[in-house]
Amino acid sequence: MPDLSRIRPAGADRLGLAPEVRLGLTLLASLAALAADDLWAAATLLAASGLYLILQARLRTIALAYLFFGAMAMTALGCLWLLSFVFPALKEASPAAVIVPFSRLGVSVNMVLPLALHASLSGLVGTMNRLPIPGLVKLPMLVTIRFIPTFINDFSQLRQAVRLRFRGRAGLLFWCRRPFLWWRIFFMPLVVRLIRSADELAVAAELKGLSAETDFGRAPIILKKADRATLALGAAAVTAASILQVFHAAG
Amino acid sequence: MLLVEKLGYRHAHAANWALNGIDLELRPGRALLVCGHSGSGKSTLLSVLSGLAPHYLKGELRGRVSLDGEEPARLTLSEWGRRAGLMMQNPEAQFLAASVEEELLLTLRCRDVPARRAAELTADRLERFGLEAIAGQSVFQLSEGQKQKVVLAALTALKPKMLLLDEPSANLDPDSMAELGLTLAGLKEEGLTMVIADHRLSWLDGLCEQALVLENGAAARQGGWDMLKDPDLRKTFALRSIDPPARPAFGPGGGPGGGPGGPTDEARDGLIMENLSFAYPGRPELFSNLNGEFKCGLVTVLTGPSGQGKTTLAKVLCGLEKPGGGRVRFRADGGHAADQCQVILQNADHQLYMASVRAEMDLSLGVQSGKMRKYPETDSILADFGLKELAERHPQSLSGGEKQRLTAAAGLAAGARFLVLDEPTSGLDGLNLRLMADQIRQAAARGPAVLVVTHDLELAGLCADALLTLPG
Repeated sequence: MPDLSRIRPAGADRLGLAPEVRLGLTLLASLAALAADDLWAAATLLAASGLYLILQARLRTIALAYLFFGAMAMTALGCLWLLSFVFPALKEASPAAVIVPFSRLGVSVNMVLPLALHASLSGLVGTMNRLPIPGLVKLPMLVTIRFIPTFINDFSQLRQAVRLRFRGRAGLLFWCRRPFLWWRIFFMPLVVRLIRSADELAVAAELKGLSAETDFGRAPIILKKADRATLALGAAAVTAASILQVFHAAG
Repeated sequence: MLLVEKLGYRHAHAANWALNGIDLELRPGRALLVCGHSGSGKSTLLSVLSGLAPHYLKGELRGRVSLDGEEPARLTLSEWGRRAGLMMQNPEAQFLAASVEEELLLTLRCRDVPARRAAELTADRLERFGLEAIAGQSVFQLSEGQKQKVVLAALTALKPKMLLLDEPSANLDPDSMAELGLTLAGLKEEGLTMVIADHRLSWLDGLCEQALVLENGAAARQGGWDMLKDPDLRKTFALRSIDPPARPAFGPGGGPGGGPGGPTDEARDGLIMENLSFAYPGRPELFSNLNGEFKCGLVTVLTGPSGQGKTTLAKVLCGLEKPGGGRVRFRADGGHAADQCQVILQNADHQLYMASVRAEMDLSLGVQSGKMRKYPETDSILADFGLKELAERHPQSLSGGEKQRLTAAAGLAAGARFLVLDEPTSGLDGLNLRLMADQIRQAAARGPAVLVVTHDLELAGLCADALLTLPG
């Protein structure tokens, strides 16, 4: 019989954490990021979660994720700038009011990416089963986590397709004159692929019988040294952010 | 026994019935081939038999489907899934787990199999399907044939009564197709009923006893396999050949017009590869010291087993991947192919950008000429590819075969000195296969060197001037 414990998806997983630890840390960091509205507290969470990501993902994967995250942030900032002409009060927003929401997105990327890249799905389902999460929340969460590697794959194929079709064609001036065409060429197929991939995954989950009631057993949680150390460091980072939130924000 | 009576199905919000008045009877241990034009309703029929329609896809169902007296309409999708397993055209879309072993385990746990039993069954399936060596491998890194095996292993672990397969041969090389045929024959002997929708027919001879030819969602012809031997019937319904396609007969390694390894034609320009080698970082060499010339005005077909680097070689030739050794240049001026090539990829979704078929063609012509406008030649190009009637449709709303033709038309219209088509006929029926072959030949006649990467020997037979086979 195969040794099921040795199954680990490919990747630069230097920590080899238990899925329970990854899930617990993700929930903890998400709640702390939501609560933190002080710039320094948010920065602490972003830095700690960034370190957590670097230890568990290839630099290329991180760069790709942040490229997408950066594009989203720039789009949002552009919209904010346009809105500021209609609502001048937006121009007076403090740096923290602009930076903190983006730092929350950054924390999400840092925490969810290792979860998606390394945690085994059956391990995650087992963990979720032990947690008091309603099935209606559990199932979309699982499909979302499984969706991330599919998205990265789609993104990379699309980038290649655009390069192959348009590289060296028409010249820089042609594209500079038509920024929306460039935008459309990249994002139209991406959106279509995302919708299609999400639909395919949902169909796969339905056909497999994965449902809110799926029971994946209740094996005991066994924490290794790395699990305990990471949990302790995570708790320390959240505590530090909480202290900064309470005292620095008050000061 | 599978019983289908007066089956009709209409997609949600659609005016027409996608399936209409289909009757069918299939005994256990027998296999049925469903064939017909692209868009004739093959995949929709499988969706209904698998319970996806209308459980998941909604829409309106009339008539009755039953398997040993049980009806999908009266069971949940999950319950029906234990009785009838569906293998989609893209098996990767069915994976929910990251590794092979985990995928099998997860499938079983979803069916409420206790952990210990699930582990035992997983081990059994890995052994039965010869997957032990790749048990821990990521599902994203498998070949198409391996992905199909994993899906079949998962589907059959709990002994379903019926297997439904949607275009299983679309992405397989001839050897993998033969292997899949053997696997399915073994499963049939265990009593599994099978419904297989496919355009490639030759590999199913001996596997399928019955055939159903669909046209506009209705059963146009129905009978035994021998019915397909009638050439008039195959021509009428755009079916492919039922005889195994022969490898095009050329001289040693080359073609009559002087492709790689073929007779030399010094006067003609071509893309030369010299001592070309390539390896992905940390992996063994995919190919080494490849030499040859892709002559302008001729079609070279690149074949070989899956995973041997055919698509990678095309990328290296186009400058998308850097070779480990050797170089690529045009004979006439020593220029690179990088800025003078067009590549038409297998996955059409990634290459359709605009809001209408016409606009997609105008984009290609516009990027080529540097001016975005409506081009008068668009209509004639669309007509050449059988797409004129669809000119105002959104490209993403087209069927798989139609999308493939549109990306090919757009790529060919863009013009290039070196043109690469990667599996251009994987989802095409017989009529469109011949149409594509004609267009490839015409594209080559306009001057560029054309490289077709394909497993489809029928296509190779129709359009190749030269054949290049990467060794397995």
